[in-house]
Amino acid sequence: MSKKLMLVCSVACIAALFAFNGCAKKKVTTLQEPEKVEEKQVVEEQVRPIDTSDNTSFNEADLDAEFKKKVQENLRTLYFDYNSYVLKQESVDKLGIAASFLNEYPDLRVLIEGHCDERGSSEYNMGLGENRARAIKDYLTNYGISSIRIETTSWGKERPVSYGCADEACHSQNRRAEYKVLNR
Amino acid sequence: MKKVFFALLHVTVWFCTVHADRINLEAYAGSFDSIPLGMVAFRPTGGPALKENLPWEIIADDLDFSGRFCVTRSTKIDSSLFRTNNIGLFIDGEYTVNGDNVSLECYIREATTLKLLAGKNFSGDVRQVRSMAHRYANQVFDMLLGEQGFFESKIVYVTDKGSSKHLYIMDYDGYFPKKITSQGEVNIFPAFLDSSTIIWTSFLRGKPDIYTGSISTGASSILIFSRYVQTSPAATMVLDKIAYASSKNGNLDIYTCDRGGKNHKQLTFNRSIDTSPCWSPNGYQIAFTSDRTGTPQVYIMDGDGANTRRLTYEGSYYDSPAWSPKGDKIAFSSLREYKFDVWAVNPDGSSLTRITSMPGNNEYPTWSPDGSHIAFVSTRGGKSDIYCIRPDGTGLKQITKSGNAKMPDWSKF
Repeated sequence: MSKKLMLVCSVACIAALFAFNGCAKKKVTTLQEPEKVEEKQVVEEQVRPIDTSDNTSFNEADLDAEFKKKVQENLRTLYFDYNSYVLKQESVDKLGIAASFLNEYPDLRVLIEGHCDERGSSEYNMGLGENRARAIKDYLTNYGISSIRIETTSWGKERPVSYGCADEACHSQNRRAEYKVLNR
Repeated sequence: MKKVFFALLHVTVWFCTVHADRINLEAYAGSFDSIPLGMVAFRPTGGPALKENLPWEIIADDLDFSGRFCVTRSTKIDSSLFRTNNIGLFIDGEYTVNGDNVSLECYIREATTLKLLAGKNFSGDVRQVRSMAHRYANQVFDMLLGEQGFFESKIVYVTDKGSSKHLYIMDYDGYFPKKITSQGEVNIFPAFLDSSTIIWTSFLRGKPDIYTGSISTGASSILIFSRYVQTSPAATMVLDKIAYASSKNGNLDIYTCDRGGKNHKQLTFNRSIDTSPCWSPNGYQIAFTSDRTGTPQVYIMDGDGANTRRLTYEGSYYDSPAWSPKGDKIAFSSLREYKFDVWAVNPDGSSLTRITSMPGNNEYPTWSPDGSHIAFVSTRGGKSDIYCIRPDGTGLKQITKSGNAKMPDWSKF
């Protein structure tokens, strides 16, 4: 009896072993060869360092006509509400385009000039124009544009597009921020 | 033309005193608010007669304008006219034109006895007649009132021609406008640093920086600059310091530095626009504009930035504070019902009073050296001109007629 049991057990064990082995073999055959990872050395894009030796004065860059047109299309004048430097929705849309453009041309360095309408005092408007330019700079830097590429200044109400405005349609043209492309 | 101006500036007017320096006015004028004074046309004693810039008219205009005298003009000595107008003292004189030269004899006399009390003699280029007359008017002021007259003071201002703005200087009465700046397209916010030097904001480098320049030669140099905005300079001659607004640490804040543009110190640290600093006459305090409560209002702080307090509450828009030379008032422009007017308040915030109430915008007040007048810019005539008014709202006088004058700063004597 015990000899019989031992035999059965041995057969069962061997069978089990085989069964296990068979199972393991099956699994290996279903595994796919891993795809080969292509390795590439990551090199930072070559960007010329910005010349900051004369960072206190701004010189406008000489652009060729074709690129100038591109700049005008992408870096568009932004307009503001009366006595406000809050970006309007239309400005935010324009800034998305401006940011992609600045990303596309990492060599560009720009000056943002804030302007005001002719109402209010000259002194206070110098500050308001500055805040308008800074609001745009803040938006672009939050977008990932390096702050070293963006300068800001203010013309206050000293350089309106239209002089001697009598109505809001005219005033609104003067409350603006414009871009200038600077020499690097 | 330039040479003429330099000659005018460097004029040496010779004068000699005949009699006493101080006249006892009480003997002649009692207690008048405005002292009656006679002015008799000067007699030509040789050469051609003067056709313009008549010295006796200039002297009479000066003394009348001051508000301290009430001048009765006549072509000859007229005792009955003197009596009718209660005149105790009168001025007469003689002049001689010899080619380009003119000499003036100015006499101040007792009206009843015609006795000569004091005489002065001036001579120089005929183009300097106005300077001689202003100087004599100052001497009359000193002799009769024992005070310094402001008749030789100057006003520096901005002339706006389309997109170009340049600085000019003129006599306080609007004569002899002379261009100071030649560079840059936009030159604004002029202020006297001393009697021969001004400071202002120029966009010469395509952005606002503060420059300093000589009134006589126009030679200028950059004084306060950074990659950010520098604007609205104001000087105190007591401390030889400059206050200005700059955005170098964020938005506009008030800074001070010495007159050479060194030792900068930041006085305000608000996340708001702080600008338009102006010194108290003793240099202890600075008035300025800030929108820290949402709208631009006038504040006062100590010269080191401590003890800030708000000065204006009524109305929603104030700017361009100007501290009176005696320290008793701060004038500014205030926007109400869509237009600016000049107002003034005591430094403790009391007695807010409106000074101008004319059509158009009335802005940028600046005090005469003695505090008796405020010059300001008005668009009442449709164009922008400089006017003068007394702090009580009387005595309005138009100074410029070019129609494009802005931002005046009146010299200190």
